[in-house]
Amino acid sequence: MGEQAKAEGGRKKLTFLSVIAIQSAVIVYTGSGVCSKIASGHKGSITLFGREIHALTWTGYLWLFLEVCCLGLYAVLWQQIIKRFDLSIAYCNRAFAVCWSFLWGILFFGERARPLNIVGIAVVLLGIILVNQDAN
Amino acid sequence: MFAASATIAAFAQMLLKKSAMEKHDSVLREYLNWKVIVGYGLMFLGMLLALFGYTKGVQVKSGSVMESIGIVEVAVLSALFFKEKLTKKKVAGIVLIIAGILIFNLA
Repeated sequence: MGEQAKAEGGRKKLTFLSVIAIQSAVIVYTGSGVCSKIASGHKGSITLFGREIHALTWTGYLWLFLEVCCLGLYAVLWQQIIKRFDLSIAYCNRAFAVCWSFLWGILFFGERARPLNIVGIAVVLLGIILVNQDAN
Repeated sequence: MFAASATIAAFAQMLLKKSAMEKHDSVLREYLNWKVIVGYGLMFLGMLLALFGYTKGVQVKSGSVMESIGIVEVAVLSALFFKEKLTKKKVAGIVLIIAGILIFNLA
């Protein structure tokens, strides 16, 4: 399918499986945000030439490394996705990151869910469905 | 901070798509070419900006919301560079996505 899609400038029909594939990449991408947030909580400082420099602790750098790993995997997946689909369509599907990040915020950081969050996500989902219909 | 990150990411996407549309000799070459390397270099710069934003106390869900400004930028740039049509349905979908993000942010 890759050769044909490439010849057509990346225009391929969006099936349910295609959407699942795009969302898998988006989930990996939102994982980087989780690592970034955790890394930011590991603030430390080092003393260099008598001056205190604010930085991350070693654990913070480990989370930063994991963030880069998430982005690396996302990069590999994303390049394959935009090879097969219109960039604007794929990028709109990426907006569902709002939902995944919201979920991770609740699960990992105890962030509160409010009714407007749910309404907002529902409207985003409607928008993505509309864009995906256009892709077909 | 997050808006700047989104704009940098939008331009990075153009480079990535440009590379994805080209024929490469091997799978490795799909990733190891200047467009992809510069594209992800720009993404890394955007990531650092986002990290700086998070250290200022931005919540994970809000950071992701603000980065979504890039959807409009990518749609417009894709129309300009790759002739991807901005149909009424697509524009309506994008408006809904942005509206949803704004509603989400109101909470």
